[in-house]
Order: sequence, then C-alpha cells, then structure tokens
Amino acid sequence: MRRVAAIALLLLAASCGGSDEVSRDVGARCDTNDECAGRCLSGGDYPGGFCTIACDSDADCTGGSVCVDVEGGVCLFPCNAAGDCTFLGNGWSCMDETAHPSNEPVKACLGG
Amino acid sequence: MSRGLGLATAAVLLAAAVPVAHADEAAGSDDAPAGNQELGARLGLAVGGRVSPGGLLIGGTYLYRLSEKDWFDGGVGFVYGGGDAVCFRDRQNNLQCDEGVLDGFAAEVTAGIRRFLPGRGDFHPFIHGGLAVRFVSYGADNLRGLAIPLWIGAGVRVRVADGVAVVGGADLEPGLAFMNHGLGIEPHGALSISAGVEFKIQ
Repeated sequence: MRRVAAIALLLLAASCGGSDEVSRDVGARCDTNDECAGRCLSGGDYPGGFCTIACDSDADCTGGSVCVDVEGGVCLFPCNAAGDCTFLGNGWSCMDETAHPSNEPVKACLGG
Repeated sequence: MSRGLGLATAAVLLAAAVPVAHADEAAGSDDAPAGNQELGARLGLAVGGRVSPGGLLIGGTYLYRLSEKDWFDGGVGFVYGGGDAVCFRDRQNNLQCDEGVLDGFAAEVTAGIRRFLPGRGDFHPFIHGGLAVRFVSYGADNLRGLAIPLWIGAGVRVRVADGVAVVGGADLEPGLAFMNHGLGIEPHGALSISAGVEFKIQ
C-alpha cells in the first residue's frame, strides 16, 4: 500500500509543471489568429508567426513584453542586443522601434 | 522514463486490484457495513489542471461483496468543467497546454476494491483503490485523450436507514494520459471530493 501511495504522489507531482516563457498572449508561434489569444502576426517581420495582443500601454502587455508602435500598437519582447531575441528562433533580431504611445525609443525583437 | 513508470504503475495496479473473492463466507452477516450488492449516486467537485479535467462531478457506483471487509467498487463518473482555449505552440513548435483546474470534460469508468475499516455504530470508514479509464476532452482546444490513472481514496459511509447510507470521501487519480495533437503521453492528476447515497439492492 505504501508503494502505491508513493507512486501516486510521484505521478501527481509530475502532473504539476510550468510552461514556456512565451504564451498564447505574446510570443507563441502561429499561422492563424485562432492559435492566439489576440492576433497572429506573420510574414518576414515575424518569422514562424508571433502571437500578440493589441495594446495602449505597457500595462496591457503580459510576460515582460512592452507596447510598441507597430501594427497600431502591439506587445513585443524588449531587448538590448540581438542575443536577447534568440529564444524566438532564427531570423529574430533586436530592432530600434518606438514605444506606444509615448513615442520614446525602444528596442524590441522583430524579424530582420 | 514515462514508459518505465507506466509499466511499474500497471504492475502495482494489477497486484492491488486482483480481488480475493470470499462471497460465500461473507453472505448473510447483519453487521456488515454494506449489503451484498449496492447501487449509489454521488455528486462532488473535481480539481484537475494541465490535461486533467476539473469541475462538477456526477457519478454512479456499484458495490459487490467479496469478503467480510472487501467489496468490489466500480462506477462511472462525469466531470463537467468550463474553459477557454489555452493551448499554444512554443518557439520550438511544441504544443503547450496548461488547462485550468476547473476546465474540461471527462467521462470515466472505475474498478477496484473498497475495504471497510473498523467502524462505530452506523459509521463505517473505508479506503478504496483501483484503476480508472478516462476519456478526456477540452473542446475549446479540440484536445482529446485517454487517461489511465490509479484511483485511490478514502471516505466514510453512514447508515441512515435500513438499506440506505450516505457516503462522503476524497479521491486521487494520478496516472498517465495519452493525448492527441502531438502532445503524446502527459502526466495526469485529479483530486475530487464527493458525497452521495447508496442503496442496498441485495
């Protein structure tokens, strides 16, 4: 009986786990909007597709992303150097962009 | 790793679930905590998460006496939860699904042994365990699978009238789930509490 209980606890513990740094809100790969909580950005600026949500300020963004003035204001991941964007896969770089709505300079991960 | 754990789990289950039938010696005792055969219904709450559905639990039970202390304990159960789509593809293109603890739908069949512990008066505590087979579904994500968890728990049965008892208890269902959309084998774990009534039919 003790062995059964031990195995049960082991399996239960294994069922509780974390997820990735990207999410359905911001950062997941996608081909269509159905795969995202918000919208799917695709094309050369977003290699592999990029789930994001529309934003009016950084407060609308999740997972450490920031509101950038592209596509009318969407959440992207901030960066300081190209290496900061490698977790998104090949083709992603750290680009100079404009924060939304402050219009202040900001660096964000985009394809390029 | 998962395969080895699954085989070990199956071996333990088989060893634990093989009933030792002593129906002849058990029949006819008026002090027994339950009848030779009983039917029951239960209502409760299940808590899951990831690929383990949670929500409202509705079920039915069937008891068949095997010995002085042991009954075959089988049943069916349904879990009705809610939930929006939560699955996504990470940057390595692997599907990630972390469903809510009260999300999804499950239909299950359970089979095992209920052992009554020494009680007092009309109060009869018990432990039970066995194997469950669960169909698991998350409609919003079009995610489905088959889970084969252990089923272990404890409870108390209180006789309230001749041939009628109320039952309450808690159960754990840790195991493995075989999911579609390339998720493959995932750990499964659900906790439920329920209460119900059981009727002696023989």
